[in-house]
Amino acid sequence: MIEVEQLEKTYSTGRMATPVLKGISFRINEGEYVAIMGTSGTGKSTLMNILGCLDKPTTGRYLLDDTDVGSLDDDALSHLRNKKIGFVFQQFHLLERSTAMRNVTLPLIYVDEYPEDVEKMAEKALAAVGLTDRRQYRPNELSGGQQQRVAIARALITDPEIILADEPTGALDRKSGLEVMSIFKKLHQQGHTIILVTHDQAVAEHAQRIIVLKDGQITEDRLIKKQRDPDLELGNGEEKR
Amino acid sequence: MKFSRNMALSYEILATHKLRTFLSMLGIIVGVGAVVLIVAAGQGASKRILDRISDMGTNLVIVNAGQTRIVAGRQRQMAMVTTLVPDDAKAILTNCPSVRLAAPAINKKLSIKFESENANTNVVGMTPDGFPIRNIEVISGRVFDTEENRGRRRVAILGPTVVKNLFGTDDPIGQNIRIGRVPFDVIGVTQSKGTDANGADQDDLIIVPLATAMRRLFNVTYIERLYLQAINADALYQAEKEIRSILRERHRLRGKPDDFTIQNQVTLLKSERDTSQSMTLLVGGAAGISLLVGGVGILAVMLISVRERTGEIGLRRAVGALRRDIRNQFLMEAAILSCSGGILGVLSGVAGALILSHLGYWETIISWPSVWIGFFFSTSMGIIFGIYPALQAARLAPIEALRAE
Repeated sequence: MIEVEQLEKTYSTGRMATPVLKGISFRINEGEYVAIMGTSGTGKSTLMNILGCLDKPTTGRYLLDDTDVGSLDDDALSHLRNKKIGFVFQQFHLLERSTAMRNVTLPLIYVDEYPEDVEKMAEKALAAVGLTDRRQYRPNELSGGQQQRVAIARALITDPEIILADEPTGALDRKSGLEVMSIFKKLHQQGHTIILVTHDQAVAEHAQRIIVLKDGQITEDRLIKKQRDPDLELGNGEEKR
Repeated sequence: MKFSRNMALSYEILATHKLRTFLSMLGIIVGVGAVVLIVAAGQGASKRILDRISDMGTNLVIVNAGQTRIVAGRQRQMAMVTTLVPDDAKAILTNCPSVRLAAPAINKKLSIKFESENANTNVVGMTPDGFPIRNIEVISGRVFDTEENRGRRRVAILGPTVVKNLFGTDDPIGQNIRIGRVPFDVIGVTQSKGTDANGADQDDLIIVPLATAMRRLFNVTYIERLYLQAINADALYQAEKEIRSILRERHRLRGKPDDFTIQNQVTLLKSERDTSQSMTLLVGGAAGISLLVGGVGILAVMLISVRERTGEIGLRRAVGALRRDIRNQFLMEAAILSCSGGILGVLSGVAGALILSHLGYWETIISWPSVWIGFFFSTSMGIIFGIYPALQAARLAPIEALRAE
């Protein structure tokens, strides 16, 4: 469970102080599928970095499963990321020269106790994204959509509580984007908490709940009533059927 | 350990950048290779010198007339001295229990002639005992005997170089040559001994009976040198002491400095060994400096690598790598680089040494301490020069690093 309270983040360069987040509070329960929306420069990346324990708030509180993240040191944050958070990035961030298998097992290098059945875990994670037959492929032998699915498998391998996806479809074509979104949907159905950061309304519509940021503040926090199958709604307006 | 979990990945990353990996190792390879090769060559040279010194004779003690001093690496006689005479050899043999054989000798460069062939060579007058003392073997013909010495017979034994110069491939035995103006019969040819410790040709000589040389060739009553053989290796210093006291007494040197110089094989060995060892150390040290340069090569490549892999570092941090995991990973990679560089360097050094020996240019002896020192030095070099890039990598903030790509 995630709980943020009066979160503020200010970047100071020299004498200039730039507030990016100006008092944000919300709560995300386990198993929720939330999209954080906003145009660029609204602080959504900063918020994601803080939620992902990559950065700390200037003031305010961030509780992740009752742990006050703001009080943790660098090592503890690393442990937390390793254990509880799976990242999916817009640019995939795969190791170019390594196989899908190795990419997927990367987070296991940093777990406290190295599991014995690493291969099995990797296979399971790759199966979850439908890439069982691509185990030994390297990123340059995979399509963009497949690469992003490898990245999702990597996020899944440690069985984290939260999957944090930053514009996961941003670098993909429409079809691959839809594939990726359907994987998130499946993961959500399996009980994973998913936080999606996007500027794209159509992508955000896949979630259950949308939090809209503007100018460092939340302007909207609403649940989506599902009337249509949002799988058909991805992409720009003209392509809507 | 996280170390070993990451090994395969580190290896993969290095293996995919083959050229860069190789270039970064090159300095180390060359450095270690050079150290191993140079030390092997130095040890080989040293052994060759020592072999030659033992070739000079068995349990050898040499008495030179006059004070000699080492000048520019060679022994020079400081002043002409006429006090050493053949009877000194006899007296030493009778009075020194530690001396088994004694052979007085004298030598001079003279012109020699056979038919129309002329040459200048070192003519040695020596008693027959000089052959066993100096390990000179006669491979064809025969050695002159005491009787021929006493009778001042004009017989000569030639070194292989002289044979080649005067006779080419013809058999010299029984031929008549002229030393100066005096005709001599050739009765034997010595076994080749190659060059001596100073690089002089030991085969360019003619040996004649001492009495013949003193009377018929040089017209002198004194000798220049005594070759003596101690009863065994342990008696060398004792023999030296006995010889000194006899000679001082015979030369009436009470209160005056020696008018002769005594050397034995052990002191010769020691001084030669010292020279060649300091040489090896010097050149090996110079090669060692190239190892330092090799370390700088690793530093440069690791810095480039950290910059280029910023995104990877960010990703690793995001999935849970601690700062020290990143630091260790880069240290590990530097260590792998320098360690493999060290191994390749040792292999190339050893290969180079073997090839050099095999081709016959230079005898080499691979010295295991140099292999270990080269290897450990290179590995620690890599780790030391890997520290700075590794710390830089570890300092990167995850979000900055992730943004870099």
